[in-house]
Amino acid sequence: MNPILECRGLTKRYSRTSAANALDHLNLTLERGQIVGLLGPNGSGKTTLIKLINDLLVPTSGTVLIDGKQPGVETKRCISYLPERNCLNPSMRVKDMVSYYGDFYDNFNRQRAGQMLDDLQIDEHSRLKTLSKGTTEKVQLILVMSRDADLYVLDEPIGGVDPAARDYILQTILTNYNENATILLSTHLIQDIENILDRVLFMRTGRLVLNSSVDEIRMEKKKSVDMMFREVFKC
Amino acid sequence: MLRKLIKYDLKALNPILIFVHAFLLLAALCIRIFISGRLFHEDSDFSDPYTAMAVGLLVVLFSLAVVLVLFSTELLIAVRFYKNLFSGEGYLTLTLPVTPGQHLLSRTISGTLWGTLDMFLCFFSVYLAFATPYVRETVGRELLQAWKELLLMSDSGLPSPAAAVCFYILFCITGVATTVLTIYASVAVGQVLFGHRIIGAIALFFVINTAFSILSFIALALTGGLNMFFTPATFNPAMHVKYSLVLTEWLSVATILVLYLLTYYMMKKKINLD
Repeated sequence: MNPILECRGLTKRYSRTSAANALDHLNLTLERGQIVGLLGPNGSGKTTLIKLINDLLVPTSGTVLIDGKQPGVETKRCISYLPERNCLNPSMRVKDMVSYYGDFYDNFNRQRAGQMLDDLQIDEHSRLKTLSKGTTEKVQLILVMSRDADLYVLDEPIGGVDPAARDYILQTILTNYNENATILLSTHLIQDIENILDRVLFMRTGRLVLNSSVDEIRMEKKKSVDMMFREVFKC
Repeated sequence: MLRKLIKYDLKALNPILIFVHAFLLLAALCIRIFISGRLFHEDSDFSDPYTAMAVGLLVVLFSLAVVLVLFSTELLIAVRFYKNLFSGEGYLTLTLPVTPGQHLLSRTISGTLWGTLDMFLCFFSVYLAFATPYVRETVGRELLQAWKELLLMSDSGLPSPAAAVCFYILFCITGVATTVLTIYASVAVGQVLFGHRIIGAIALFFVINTAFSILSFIALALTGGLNMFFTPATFNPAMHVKYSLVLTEWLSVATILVLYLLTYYMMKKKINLD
């Protein structure tokens, strides 16, 4: 079975005049069935990597493979992506968005989406523009986690919500993915998520500076992920 | 997938465009019932300055309304394309399991559909507002005669009046498609100008239109289409119109192809959302 994500010499330079590569000869292999934290300071290349995985950018050189395939229609079927910013049409109703996902993704589970909307007491008839920022983010997450995908790419899933909602979101993430799926999760709120992570990737200036399991960090280095992050990225 | 994309695109465009066009048709109906229906009849005295002024004002105001509706349709098509593909919504739209070609084709179809409908409804609203029985009897008859002489000319090379009508419908649709693709190409190329995406797209729209006009003029000159003006003795307006229409049609088809390929390339290779 192919690894769910494989990057070989992956490089992205936004313009010829740029001082440095946003992503610099990145080599990475992720196996199935784990929750991976993609961590790093601003400008470290996390979002660029996520965009390349989702076919939202074309690499300058190197390749990115999802389940052995280059980004395209087939890989978009098996990736469920939560972008950092709101990507839902604000004039649509919640139920229209559920239909939209159901129409385009074969692996979308309408029943699961309905159940999660009920749990959070989100009215399906509400227009998205009438919802608060936090509720809109919850709707986005519900839609993304209602897919039976092989790879979930979540960019700052808990960034814009209150601490109480974070717990629900993390619970949602944990309970709604199957054992063979992989979650790649990018965030700055390390303390909030480190308990659910199996592996962490630290990135700096477009390069991978650490690729380690959370157990290794805890057992061998006797540190939490947050402490390790602060040590590696000390200003 | 293409059908689904078109469905959602039309769903997004329909509410505002239906409202705008319904408003125009309602305004045309009101003008017909309350103004033109009372002004345009056998006993009308157009030499009366008040009547002439009222008619002039009415025509100017309604023309403005029609132009506004035409403009708003183009604007909405542009805004929908930009917002759905190149703003935040693009993160969802561009990660749907469809190809960039399907995205572009679906938007070209829905945009052309609404553009054509818009043109038809604008023409119809003018007819509705001003074509009273008296106008149809006088001006309408003359216009119809002129149209027959000019457009259904015997030497048009078209086998029948029906073929001529088909040609003019096709001419209108390609004209609309050219405008729609000019908008799409402007937006797609303009999105590489970080921080100036909207201004860049507007500037590009005018650049492409100007380039198309210059190209049309050069093509007309190179193929001898302007010679008729220099030999007034043999100048035949019908022939000139026919020649210009056919040439413009070919240029439109070529422009559509070039702009489609350019937009496709930008969507496939140069996408970079904020």
